[in-house]
Amino acid sequence: MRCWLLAFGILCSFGATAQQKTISGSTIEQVIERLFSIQEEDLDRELLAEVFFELYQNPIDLNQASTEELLATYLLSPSQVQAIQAYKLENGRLLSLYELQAIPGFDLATIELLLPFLRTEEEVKKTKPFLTRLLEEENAYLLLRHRQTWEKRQGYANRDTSANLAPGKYLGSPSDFFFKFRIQHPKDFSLGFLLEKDPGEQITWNPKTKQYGADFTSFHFTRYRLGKWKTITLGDYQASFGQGLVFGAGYHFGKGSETITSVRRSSIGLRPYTASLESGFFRGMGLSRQFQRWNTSILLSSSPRDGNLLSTSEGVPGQEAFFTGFSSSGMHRTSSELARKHQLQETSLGWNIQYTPKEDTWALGWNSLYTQFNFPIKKDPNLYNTYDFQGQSNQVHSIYTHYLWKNFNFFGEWAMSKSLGQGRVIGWVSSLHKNVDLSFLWRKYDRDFQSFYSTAFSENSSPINEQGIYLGIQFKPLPHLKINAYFDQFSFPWLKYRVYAPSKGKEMMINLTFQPNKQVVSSLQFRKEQKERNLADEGLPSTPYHLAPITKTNLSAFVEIQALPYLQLRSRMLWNQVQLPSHRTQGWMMVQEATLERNKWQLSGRVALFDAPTYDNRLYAVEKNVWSTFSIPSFFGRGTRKYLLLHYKVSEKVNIYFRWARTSYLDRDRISSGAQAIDGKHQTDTSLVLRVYFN
Amino acid sequence: MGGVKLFHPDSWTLFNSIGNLDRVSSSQVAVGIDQRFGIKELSTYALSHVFHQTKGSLGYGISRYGGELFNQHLLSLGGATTKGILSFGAKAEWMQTRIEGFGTGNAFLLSLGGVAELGPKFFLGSQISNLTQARISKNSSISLPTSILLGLKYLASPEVEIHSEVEKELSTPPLFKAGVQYKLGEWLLLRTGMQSNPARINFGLGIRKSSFGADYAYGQTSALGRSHHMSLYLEF
Repeated sequence: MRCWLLAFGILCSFGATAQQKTISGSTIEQVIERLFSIQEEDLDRELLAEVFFELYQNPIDLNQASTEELLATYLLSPSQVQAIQAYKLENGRLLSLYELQAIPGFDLATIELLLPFLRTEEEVKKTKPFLTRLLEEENAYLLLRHRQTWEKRQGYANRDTSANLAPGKYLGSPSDFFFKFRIQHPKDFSLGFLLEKDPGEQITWNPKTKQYGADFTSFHFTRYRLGKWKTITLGDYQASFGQGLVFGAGYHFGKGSETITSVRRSSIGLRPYTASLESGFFRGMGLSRQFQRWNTSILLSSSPRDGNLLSTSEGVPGQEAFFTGFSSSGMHRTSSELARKHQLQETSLGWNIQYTPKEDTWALGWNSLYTQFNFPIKKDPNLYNTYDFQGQSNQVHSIYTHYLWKNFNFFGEWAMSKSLGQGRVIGWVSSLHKNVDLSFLWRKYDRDFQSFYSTAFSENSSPINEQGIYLGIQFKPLPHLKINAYFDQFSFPWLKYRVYAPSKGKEMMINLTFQPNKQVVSSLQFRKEQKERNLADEGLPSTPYHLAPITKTNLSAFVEIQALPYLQLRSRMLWNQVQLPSHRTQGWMMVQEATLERNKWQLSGRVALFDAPTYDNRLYAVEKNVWSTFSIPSFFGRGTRKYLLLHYKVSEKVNIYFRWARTSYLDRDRISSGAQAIDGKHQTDTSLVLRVYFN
Repeated sequence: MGGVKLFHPDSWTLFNSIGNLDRVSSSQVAVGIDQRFGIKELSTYALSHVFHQTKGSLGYGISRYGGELFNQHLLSLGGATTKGILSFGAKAEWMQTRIEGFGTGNAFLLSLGGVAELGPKFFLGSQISNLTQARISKNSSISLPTSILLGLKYLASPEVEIHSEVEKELSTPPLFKAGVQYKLGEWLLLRTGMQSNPARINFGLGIRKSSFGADYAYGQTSALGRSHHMSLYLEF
């Protein structure tokens, strides 16, 4: 540890005196925390963070943007979008983002939040040849990241006897390497390349395991607005059309303290895939072309997936090899994990056709996606997964629309998969008044609705076997007070994992954000969720499972104070209660954080205490992290969490981030389990990032 | 609107929120029906009549709930007045419960309520129902529900109202209710709301055309199903 800091200190002492090129990545984490924070969600927020990171690097031009493009930022409410459009019609283009203050519905606090994601400058015409633009582009960087847990996990033990490693042992080193190269210009081009090695994975050149260097490699090259071609993308990409029943592109918001803008999805179209999660994207070519009012996109993809291939004895007629299911963790640390790697080949053909009339008040679109696997998928038969996808191919089709009528923005999508299972979403968002926004969403997903790339609104982690009504509101009863609330009522007509009967539930949330001045933001959030789950085994093997309602209540309070121009303080208190039929348990977490900014230095530190008796009481807290890295770790048990994050601007183009984090438990001598287990009370992690702009 | 009661300025406020009775704009009479979960025996029929005067308002109403085997009749008589920012009122009710084969019980109920105008945009309301903790009948030990209702109304604009209420009945957990009413154009009212336990979402619309009015509400209760609520008004 000490040598790291020392090495870092030496590196830093060579700092030059230049101005900061970009704001630190922490703003995105703050936006995500403020807009979408919910205390307890198992959603992977990395993809969502990446979406905002993209927006942050390609700010939307307010003067050029259409209503749909502004809504697609998910940062502006429908009334704010309408107010901007009306203002532009009346007064012409905005000269500065601060001009937003003149528009009703915008206060300084809102504008501050929006600043990194919007811009007003005139777009530079593409006068120079493409290659020159590419070479001269300022937004071009290299990123190197190293992360490691310093305590030894069980999976790494016995490295000395490596000659005969047990199948459960990790083959590689415990360090996590990440390399990214990116060069991009909004609405012109994007070129990117990334390499990743997860902890425990090897860096080898082994065609047998289809590994060439790092474990995960991703590449994309995208051109925008090339004549009539709206987008041409090669390599890894995602697609988002309609309400996300067929093409969802990682916009998995879940339910959060933002109750209006995240309810309706926007058709963002094709966008390059830039995250390091090893599934959920297309690999191949995507094309998007404009024919007057028609926009047509075609998606071609062939990507490897992980899966467990069971080959039955060769030569037996009628018996073919099959997969028992997908694995999307992206971890290839052990020989058995490696044996599953890229065993499955997924070939996809998809398209979208959308018509938008000149007045831009409505749109109508059609999505289709065909997917073919090289071997069939047969899951272990269980009653709860009876209606999950099985077989070798799938297709899903949908039609969608949105329609703006007065201050109501209606939307809907209706989809059907090969199994004839249907998915339907209907809803609206509206601004009843400049201070009152309302949202409504009804969804019904059949138990056999199978769509692989869907991120449509749902309580389940994917839109299948669910029916529900969501009602959301946002209003500002006082100038400095914003209230967000939602109520969601849902049912699951078929069995689910750990829920062996049809079940139902409800959830409500109310969030108060009080911002008395520019220096202080505070919020108070209450959330209550009731769902049914199998009762714990009563010890009698013959008794059938019984369902019981589990009620989870969360309360969180948050204050952020800009105490001094260079000192920011953040405090957070989290409390939860889990009510089971037999007993109730409560969890607590107290977090104190300070961020100091001086010239080229930024230093953040946090100390947190947590006390959560059961896994159900686990507490989630957004943490600051090194650039382009996002984390919401969860904690349970009793202990402390500390971290220090240092950002140093070596020069205008070179930035270094270093983070040291430690979790210490009071109530255990062994952390985690299985191969991940650490013998001891402490877990120490470090992250180091070097980012270099080269133009 | 999720069953929020305290602030509706119509003659149903006689049953729902007696303190609000003097906030009706004119004298009116209304009839209504509630149909719950497709079961005839769970329906309510009601009539209410309010006389609005400068010094205060007076009202009476009658309602019937239930079917042949079990039914309850309620006769209400109440009055309210306004002093400064505060409106307040009291109501006396006679409730008859009839169970086939068990006989008939009579009870006398007393309720108090008030609504205060905290500012041009905020209203605070409260009602204490069955103050005397009356029982179903003299011969029964079963009490009729005693409840306290507290609520806030936020008037974002003349078109948009947000209501929220907490109702605590002695023997059940507190109930949270919230609703929004939006006036679209001159005579159409759109409403939506929720209620926490049992979880229910409501959608409704209302028509107000000169002295005539009509309301309809649809309710979706997760475990039990659908309910429909209708009423007609005449102002004079």
